[in-house]
Amino acid sequence: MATTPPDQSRFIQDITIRNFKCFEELKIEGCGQFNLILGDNNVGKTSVLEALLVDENPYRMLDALHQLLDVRGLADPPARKAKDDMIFRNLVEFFTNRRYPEQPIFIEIGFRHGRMKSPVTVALKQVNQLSKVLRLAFSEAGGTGRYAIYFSSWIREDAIDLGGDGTWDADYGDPHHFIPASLFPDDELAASYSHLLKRTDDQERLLRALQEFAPDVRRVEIASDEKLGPYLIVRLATLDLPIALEMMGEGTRKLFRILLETVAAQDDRLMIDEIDAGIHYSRFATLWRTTLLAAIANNVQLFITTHNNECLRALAQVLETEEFAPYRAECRAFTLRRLPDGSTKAYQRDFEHAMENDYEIRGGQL
Amino acid sequence: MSIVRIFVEGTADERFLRELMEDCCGDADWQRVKFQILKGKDNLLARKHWQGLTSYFAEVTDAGGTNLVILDADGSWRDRQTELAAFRADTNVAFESFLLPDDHQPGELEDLLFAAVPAENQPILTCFDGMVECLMAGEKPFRIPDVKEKKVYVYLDIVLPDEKIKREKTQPPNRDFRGAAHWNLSAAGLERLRAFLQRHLLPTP
Repeated sequence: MATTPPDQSRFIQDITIRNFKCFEELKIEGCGQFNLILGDNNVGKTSVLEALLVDENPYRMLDALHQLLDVRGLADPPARKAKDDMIFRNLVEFFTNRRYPEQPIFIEIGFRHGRMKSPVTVALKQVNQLSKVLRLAFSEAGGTGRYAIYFSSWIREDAIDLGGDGTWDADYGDPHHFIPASLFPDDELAASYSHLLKRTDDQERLLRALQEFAPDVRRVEIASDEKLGPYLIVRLATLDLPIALEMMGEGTRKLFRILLETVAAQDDRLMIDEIDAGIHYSRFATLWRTTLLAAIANNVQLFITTHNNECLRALAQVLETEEFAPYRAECRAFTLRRLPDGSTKAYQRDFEHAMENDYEIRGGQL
Repeated sequence: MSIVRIFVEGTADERFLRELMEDCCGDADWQRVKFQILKGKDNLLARKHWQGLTSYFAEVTDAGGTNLVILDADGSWRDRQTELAAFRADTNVAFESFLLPDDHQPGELEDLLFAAVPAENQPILTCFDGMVECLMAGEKPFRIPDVKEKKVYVYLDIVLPDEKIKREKTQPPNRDFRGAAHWNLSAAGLERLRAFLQRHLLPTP
């Protein structure tokens, strides 16, 4: 029986970013299902991943940006409430290009397979006092200003007033999934794992992959605590008592996280910053194989950064195997470079060709 | 000096050009000269690779630098020129090219090396050619594969002093062209290539 091909209409084809963090303007065209974002330090790789949190639902996008602030300790996560407009001030200051702080953030996405591209524009700007520098406006407003997320597409254009108290509802789906480079809290993993328990294939794949990193692992379970809520425990062959996931090594936890987030991001996209961080080089092939298989099984588009050449080589080796032959053309690499005029440009590479012929695609000094 | 990226066919080309550049472009900023080995000219001239190559040329141009393409002319200088022109027109990338040995005649890197053999050592090459002719002239001709490369190896085997690392020194990435009595980098046959490199590597007065 013929299987229905996965719906990839929501996969991103092109993205244009303006006035977002370090970018005055950046265009990335021709994305595949697996996308590598490469480049020197401070060229904006992570910012590209963050820009991909753009969403037609302004609350969903706001929540995603809010979570990024939370990772940096710049937000109050549980309340989704701004204290003295801190969230909005930080949103604007953190995500707006500092050279043109009065200009709105503009992110436009073209999706794959559309009869027409569906541009989604999100402009983060203040409702009033548009002509003033936002930083000053915040100061003048004394915490009473009103802010809005502007949302427009080819269907409609709207501005959603967030109100003066800086709160917004959380009644919508999860934001797009983003795995930061640094150590992350595991407190939400139990909820993600409960999704995975419904999917036997993914669960088994996760266990096999974990066993390659930590051969002792026999099972992962959800435990519960009155104060802590649900949390994950790991049963090991060599120990009678289970241990908390947090006690496992960083590499194991990272792989676990990637797998869970991939399942949770089904039919959507997943951004992974510095995929190689915390992983031993000998495990890179396992990491890639597991990640790609999960992305294929769950129809997830990946955007991944790395600086690591061994990591890229391992990906090339994995893609060379027969198992991934149908997906080789889906792997794209984009090298970000800062040009002499201060702008940034993304150069699309033929990943297979580059690896075969030893081209340097990680950016850095020419 | 802004960045200069030089696309060459292989490690033998890179080694020879590095040595020649150091000889004729002493004031160049070597940190800004980068080689990209194509692993054969087809990796640039075959149309299927053009899209993949474009970004490497563009990033140099965008940075205010220069791309140089130095390939063998092989059997027809004109045919190679036509292929390079098609690559340029199709991809819109900017580069300057030089086809070995002298951007004028058919030939390869090895022809340039033979031109750099000092007059007193030319009899080695003449005798080698005689041997090849002899092998081909019999009732059953014997052909030597990659005869020009073999000729270089034989030449170095004869002129290099006997020492433990002699074999290594005949290998393309280890060949020492500068300051060696068995190479003359100022020979007339290298003049056009020297001028090309000087034009692109030396600071403009």
